[in-house]
Amino acid sequence: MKAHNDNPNQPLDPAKLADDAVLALSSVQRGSKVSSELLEEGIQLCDYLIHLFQELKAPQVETERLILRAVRDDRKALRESGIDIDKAYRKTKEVKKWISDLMHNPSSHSREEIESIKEHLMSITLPIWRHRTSEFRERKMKRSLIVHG
Amino acid sequence: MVNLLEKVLCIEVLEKMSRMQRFLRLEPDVARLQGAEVVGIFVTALDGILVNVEPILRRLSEDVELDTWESLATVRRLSDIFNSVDELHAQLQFIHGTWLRPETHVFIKNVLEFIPEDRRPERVSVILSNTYSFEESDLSSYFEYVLRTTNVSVAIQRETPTVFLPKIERDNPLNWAILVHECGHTDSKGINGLFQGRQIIPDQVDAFTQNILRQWAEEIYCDIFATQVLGPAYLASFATFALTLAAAGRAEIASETHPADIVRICIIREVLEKNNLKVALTEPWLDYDDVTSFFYDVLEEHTKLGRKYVRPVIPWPQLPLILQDFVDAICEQIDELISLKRQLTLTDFSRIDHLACRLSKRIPIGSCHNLELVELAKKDLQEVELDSLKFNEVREAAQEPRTLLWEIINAGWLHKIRSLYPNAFALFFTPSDMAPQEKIASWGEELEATDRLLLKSIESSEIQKLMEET
Repeated sequence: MKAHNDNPNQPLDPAKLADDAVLALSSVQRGSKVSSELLEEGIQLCDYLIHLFQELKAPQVETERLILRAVRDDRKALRESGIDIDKAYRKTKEVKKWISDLMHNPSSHSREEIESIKEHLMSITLPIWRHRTSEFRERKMKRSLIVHG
Repeated sequence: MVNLLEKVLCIEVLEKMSRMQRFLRLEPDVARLQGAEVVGIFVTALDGILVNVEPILRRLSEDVELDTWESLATVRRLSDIFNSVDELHAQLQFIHGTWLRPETHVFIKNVLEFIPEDRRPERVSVILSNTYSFEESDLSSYFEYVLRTTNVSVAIQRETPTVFLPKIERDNPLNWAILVHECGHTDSKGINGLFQGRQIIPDQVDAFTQNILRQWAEEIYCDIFATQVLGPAYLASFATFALTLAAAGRAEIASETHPADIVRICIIREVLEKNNLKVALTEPWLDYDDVTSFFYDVLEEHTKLGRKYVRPVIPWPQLPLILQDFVDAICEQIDELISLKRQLTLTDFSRIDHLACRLSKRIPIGSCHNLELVELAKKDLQEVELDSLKFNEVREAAQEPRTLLWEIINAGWLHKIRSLYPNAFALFFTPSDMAPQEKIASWGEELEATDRLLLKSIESSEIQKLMEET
């Protein structure tokens, strides 16, 4: 019996990681207690995004390696969103460091800096999220159209 | 109230989960025929989805206003969680043995009675659907189409108008309101009339756009049909449906078959205002004085939030000027075209407040005293002089005339805003040691109790109607 979810390289869900991290960062801003696991999700997200940006900056020959479809789609969504890849790459690296700082010392960055982290995480994951959810919507719409006529 | 949009959205998503739990539990044949394992997988999956809601519940329990990014993150997360429930709903295809409630047929029959006899379909079938969508189809031509794809031609030669109800809404009359829109699609004579009178589709549009506008005209016709049959309850039901699907500006995005949800809601609201149909709200915790404004604003708030980070791509036919002219042209002739057997007025809604109070006391509302008649009769009885006693009037006051379909559904929505939402807010957004699973079970019991009251009300109203007819 073949399992449907046995792929060890199952990609992360960037929007979920961003949403959790943003809620955690807002708690930091309010001085509330924060689960480090949620901030850790922000770091995981940055690692994944950095990887995507590196691929976009210097594309590799894909036929030589196994590329997961979801990763390829996420990369495509970022490319087509029209964002400045170099700028977004640099910002993501900075954001990763800032989140790491905040995990060790919640007062290491100002409210404005935390605000800019939240804005970056939300806006950078938006094209990926839209791409992923539109596929779900299209599938549902297609199913509906067949019956509805 | 702070974070009203996020709280209402969260409660609506939790309601879908609760209803799915109940749907699985209520299927008596499921365990016997298919083994508890299959149902168990659904239950486990729902528990897993609920874990994803926990951070949002914790945050909303703080009762501190969300900032913009938090609000976006919360709404986006809830959208994903609803999508997961939606996807799981499609998998209900693995669960068999679901029977439709007789009350649903009663509901549809009552809706069809609004259509004049020369246009009314003999019957409309109802099917419980695996897809979380409310749809309408002519099953005969659908079967012909399906068979044709295998190169087999079959002519069924009759129409079988059918509406589809998502399985988890089987027991929820409040969301059957959307089926009224679907019944509108079966009024093909009325819909064809839209294109025979005044020209509603501008000449300058190409054939592709004309086709889109024709489909949109039909949808608008059905929205107005449903609004005229049910009043504010249709807007409430449609707005909560749109709310759960509205992530990232989706409420402003039209498809080839439907105008954008927010456009449709605006039209429904205009029709309600034009006909002066409203259900008053007097809740101190809300800044709204009627049911329509409450749901309209919650959806509008969601749409505005989406606009902050999504610039909607407006397809050509939706260009504001063309769309406004198009909608105006339809609305101008719609009253004449729809010409239902009965037109609701504000007076019809005078009992809603009283009926909602009865629901909150767990009293079914299939019939209800006419309070004015009771008061008059009381006076008569105080001055008892047998010779002058108006027996007939006293007898009439003592009897409870049946309540009608739109009264039951509107009272149900008012009860939801007055009692169910506040109770759910207190349950889910107040810090407590209660596990989310326990909370959703407790909330499910409350939903179930309301469903039962409404179903019982529909049933007893129909029985009384049949007795009056015979």
